[in-house]
Amino acid sequence: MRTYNPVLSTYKTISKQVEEMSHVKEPKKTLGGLLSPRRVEEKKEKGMDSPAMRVTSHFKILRDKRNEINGS
Amino acid sequence: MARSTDYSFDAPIPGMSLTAEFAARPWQSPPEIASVDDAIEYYLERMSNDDFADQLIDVMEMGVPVADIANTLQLGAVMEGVHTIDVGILVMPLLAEMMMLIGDSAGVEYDSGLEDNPDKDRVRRSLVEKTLRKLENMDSVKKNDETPDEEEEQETQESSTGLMARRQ
Repeated sequence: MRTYNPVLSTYKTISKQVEEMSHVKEPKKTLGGLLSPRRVEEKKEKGMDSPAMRVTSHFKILRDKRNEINGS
Repeated sequence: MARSTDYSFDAPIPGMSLTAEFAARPWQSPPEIASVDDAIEYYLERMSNDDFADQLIDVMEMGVPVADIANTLQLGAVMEGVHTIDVGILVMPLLAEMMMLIGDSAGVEYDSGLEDNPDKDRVRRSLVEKTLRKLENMDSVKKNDETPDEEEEQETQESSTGLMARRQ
């Protein structure tokens, strides 16, 4: 009998997030003033302040590399 | 008699965690790594080591699922007090992906262990039996369908022998 492994659920969730990320097109960068708080807002919009999203971004890099190796 | 695979007597007994002095265990004291980013860096650094990659490839070739290796790795780090269990859970998919990347780049065939139901493709014995029974039933129905025709023929032959029957 197979015991419960938390990797299964977390891996699936992050894979889904990566797929969603690949579908979302990045908006074109608009030029702003030097004092505009654009960067902070962009970070917040992408959810990069949450640890899960940071893991997802790292995961995406590895997934892309794997796809490159496997040729898909 | 089938042997039970449930080793419930191997499980810790209630209150066992209180038998040691508090904070005597590594996982009861503050972790060395508190953030996910630091944990990622810690693991990526460890995994980029050639010795680690060689050992990992050996284990993967033995047929150990990647998911199990990832779980063991992070649980070991939790037990050593490197990071907390929640950081470990967050980092686990990354560990699995990194291991699969190492396996792919080395050209190793491995079991990811990430499938929902690994026995999904295996044909169930009960399904085979059910299908066989259905086929047998279909055969018997066909035979039953065929037998009335013969009876009908016999009836027609018999009916021609009546008094009012047409002369042939």
